[in-house]
Amino acid sequence: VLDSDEALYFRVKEGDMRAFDELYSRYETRLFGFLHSQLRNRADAEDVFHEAFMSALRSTTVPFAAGTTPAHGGFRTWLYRVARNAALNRMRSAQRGAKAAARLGHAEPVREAGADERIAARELEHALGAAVARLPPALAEVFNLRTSGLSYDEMANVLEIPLGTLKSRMHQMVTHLREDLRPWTAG
Amino acid sequence: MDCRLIQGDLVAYHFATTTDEARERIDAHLVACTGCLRAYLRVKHHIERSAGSEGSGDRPGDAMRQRLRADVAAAFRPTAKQRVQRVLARPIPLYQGRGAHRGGAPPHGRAGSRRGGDERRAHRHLARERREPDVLLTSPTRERRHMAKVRSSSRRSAKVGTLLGLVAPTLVALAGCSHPGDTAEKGASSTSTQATPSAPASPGPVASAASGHASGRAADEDSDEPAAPPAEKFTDGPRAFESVKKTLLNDYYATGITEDDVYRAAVQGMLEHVDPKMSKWNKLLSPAEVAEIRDDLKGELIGIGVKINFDPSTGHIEVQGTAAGSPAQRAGILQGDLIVSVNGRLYKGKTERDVVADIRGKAGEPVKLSILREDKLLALEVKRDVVQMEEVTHATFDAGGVGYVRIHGFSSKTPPMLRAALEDLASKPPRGLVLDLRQNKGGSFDEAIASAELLLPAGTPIVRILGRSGKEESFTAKGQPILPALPLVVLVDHETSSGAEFVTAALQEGRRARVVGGRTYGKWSVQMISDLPNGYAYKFTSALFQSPSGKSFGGVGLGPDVEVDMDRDQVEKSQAQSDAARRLAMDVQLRTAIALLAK
Repeated sequence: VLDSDEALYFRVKEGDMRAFDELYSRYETRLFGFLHSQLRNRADAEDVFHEAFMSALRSTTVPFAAGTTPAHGGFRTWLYRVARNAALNRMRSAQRGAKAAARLGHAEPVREAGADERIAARELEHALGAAVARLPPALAEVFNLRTSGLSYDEMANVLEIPLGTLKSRMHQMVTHLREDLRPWTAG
Repeated sequence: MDCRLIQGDLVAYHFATTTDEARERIDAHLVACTGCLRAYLRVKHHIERSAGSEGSGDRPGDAMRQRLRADVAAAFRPTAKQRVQRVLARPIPLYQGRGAHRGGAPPHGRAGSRRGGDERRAHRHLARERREPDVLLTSPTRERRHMAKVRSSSRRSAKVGTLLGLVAPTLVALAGCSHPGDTAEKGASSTSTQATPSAPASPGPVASAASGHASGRAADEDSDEPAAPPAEKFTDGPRAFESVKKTLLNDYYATGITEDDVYRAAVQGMLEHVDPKMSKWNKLLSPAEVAEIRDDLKGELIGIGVKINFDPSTGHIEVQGTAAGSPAQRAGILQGDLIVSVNGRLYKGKTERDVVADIRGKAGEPVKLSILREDKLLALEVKRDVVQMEEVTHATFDAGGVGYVRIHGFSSKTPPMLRAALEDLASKPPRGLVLDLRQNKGGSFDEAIASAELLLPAGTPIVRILGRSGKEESFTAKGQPILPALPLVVLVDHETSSGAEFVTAALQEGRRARVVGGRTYGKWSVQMISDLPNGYAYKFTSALFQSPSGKSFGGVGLGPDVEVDMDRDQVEKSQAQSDAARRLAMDVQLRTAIALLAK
């Protein structure tokens, strides 16, 4: 039986480094991936990852009790929330200036319609990457959270929005992607 | 359907934001159209490989990992105390057996009181499932009536239940006592061997009273009771037996099964399954268990007299209390102490039974304990000694107007202690008497009779025994009772069983005692213990019993005259309370009894 994230969390706080290794391995790809795609900068993502882990561990107010395993990932959603806030702070300071605009919007739309399948695969990658890059930040965030493996409930928890709002953002996100990918998919 | 329309929806399809209807359409299309299926797989693949997704393999660099690890290690370096606690917190399998608890440990706080409600409930359930009947035996030495060959070695389940139930086991450290309920998981280990009352020469059967838990609630509660045997006849038994035995010895997947194992299991199975409704009371007893039963009947144990609670979730051995005048008390062991090791041994991965076996031993030999008290680790050496079980406690309430006597169980210590308690009360006669049989699970048949004789006028019938094919026997009081005319109220609860039940019925019918509390357990049968040449023994149901007027409450329980609910925790807590005012405030059943006597 695997220890829950919550159980590991409390063990780390007692200095159990084996628990830390386990907890780290559970989040090193999913949480880091989320941060990396949000921040689009590896060094920033690493900094924020470090900051998020340390502040979650140092926190004296923990939203779940020892010995419990909350239904929608008590530790997981909390850690994402902490990480997301750290990332937002980082983005805010970094975004002063034109960087943000550059980041959030100028990938070239892919227009090569009707490509044949061999090249379509490569093109799709570009097309998707570009389409995601053009998503409004709130929708890109939803995309990144979802692809890092969170459930709807967990995402709503992380973003601190009602489930209905989350669903509507998911829908908008998909609509955006679909529009952007139309030239490709319509082929 | 048009492939273009489908492909436009693939992203939505992946994120499950399509309508159900569209989803079904796409499902159907993808099955049929390989081109769209490939397109979908590409979309899916790409999304899953995109940076940030789990499948991307994107992770922080190793340097960053090392940095974070070092920071965490520095920030949360455990203190020495935390390190000790971490060791203590490693889970140790729960010992489900009974412990030495019954050895007269004073009713200090009930074991398990710190435990969470769920766990407690689970334990209680376990206790019920495994509860052992009282073994009520008539003693050979006394040659009581026709039961001459019957030896009395009764084992009291009362304490077992307590042990098992609430408390994870609580024990007074002494020789192991057997708990037939879980023979298998207990390693044998009874250290205190005392002269057993049985003459080994003729392994005559020994009677014990177990109750027919044939039906009713007992059956409902005990979900592990074996199902009724199949209706088809099992013919040619010896050949079937040989064939199974041979297979187990030669073809079974695991090696190491010996012929002895097969026979032992067969005997166990025979006893436990031959009569499903008695499966709990018919049991094979290991030599250690037999020794425990016999020690138990004597009402004394050799150990240090500490009542412990082995917490399964943490593995801590918590001291629940010490017996009055016991070595543990003299050594200054306190309630709440945590025993970390015994003779240098730790109990990670061990059972409570191991703990008990190590604490018990020969009288006069010391046992070394490491005890964690607050944050200090103490090393104590305690000399083992005989610990007397406290079978009877007494007090007065209502400014001396009401005498109170509690009988914990029936061992050879009970009648003299009961006599002393009653005589003490008689020195300043109260106007009424409360006899507390709550949590009393019975014990020795003989001693239960002898105890009843102290409460019933000579000539009053006590109990009737119904043996095989209608053989019947009655027991009548012929002793010198003390204060036999005093109005009497008997307190009972769901744990009151076997010997304590027939004593209750006898007092109700023969002394017009009123019964207050909850319905009793409903074990109205007698078991005997018979020795085997190899040191084992077995217990089988030899008779049922009835109240003098011919009533039996097997499987049903005796209903009180005045029903007053209290749960087991409350009962135990109040019984442990020595301050009279607080005691009364906690114990509504006792208050009711006193009110009845005031009328």
